[in-house]
Amino acid sequence: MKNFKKIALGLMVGAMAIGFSAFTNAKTSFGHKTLYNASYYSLDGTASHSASDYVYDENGSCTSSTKICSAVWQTTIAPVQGDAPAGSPMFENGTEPGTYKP
Amino acid sequence: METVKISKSKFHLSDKLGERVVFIICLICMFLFLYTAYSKFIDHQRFFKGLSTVSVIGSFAIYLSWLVPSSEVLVSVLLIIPRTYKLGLYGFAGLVSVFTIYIISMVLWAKTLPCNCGGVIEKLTWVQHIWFNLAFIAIAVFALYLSNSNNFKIQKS
Repeated sequence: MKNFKKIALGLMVGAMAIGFSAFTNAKTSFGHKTLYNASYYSLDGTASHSASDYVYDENGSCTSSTKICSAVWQTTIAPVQGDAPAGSPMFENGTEPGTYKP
Repeated sequence: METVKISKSKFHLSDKLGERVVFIICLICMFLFLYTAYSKFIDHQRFFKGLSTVSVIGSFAIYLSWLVPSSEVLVSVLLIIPRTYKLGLYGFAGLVSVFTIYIISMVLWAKTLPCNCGGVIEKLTWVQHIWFNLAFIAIAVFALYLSNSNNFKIQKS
């Protein structure tokens, strides 16, 4: 195969890669994606960065202690009662001291 | 009498087929890197935040958040230029190896596992991600083996 053909094919595949990436990231690319910042209660009382260690509870509260009660997570899916942060969860800190009381 | 021993590789592909296989592997590697680099650039803030949560590299997060996608674009460019494709393959195998070592170390020691790999690759579990990377390292090494063997020579301009 001639070199110019290789480069042309390479550029075509490169354009496809960027197009495909733009397609799968379309919502974030142009700022159309809705991001949710919500406070989630820590199940283990630490400022863990693992989403599975947190739960969203509208009726939850914090009792006074030196542990970590809640933290703010940013998600692309609206918080669901009783669920962990879902939808590309990002730990946003905003921790509050205390112990989670369901 | 002088004897010359010629050792031939057991694995043999015709010149043309070998060249095509190497070229297709270069295209696949380039596709992967451009795909992930684009998503890292376009959603840079998120990528940066993800890196900054990792304790070991958190202090260099701002540099790494630009260096990683820039390196991916550079390697992609090297892969499509016939004169530099081999350098691109070395760069690709090296970068993916570094990513894999990072993932393995995170799985073993880190408390948190933030994945900001870009696009649909983020949907993979960490173990799947390791296997995914190892498969890409393997095909890049295979392409290097083919292009380094005497069975064929890649046409140079």
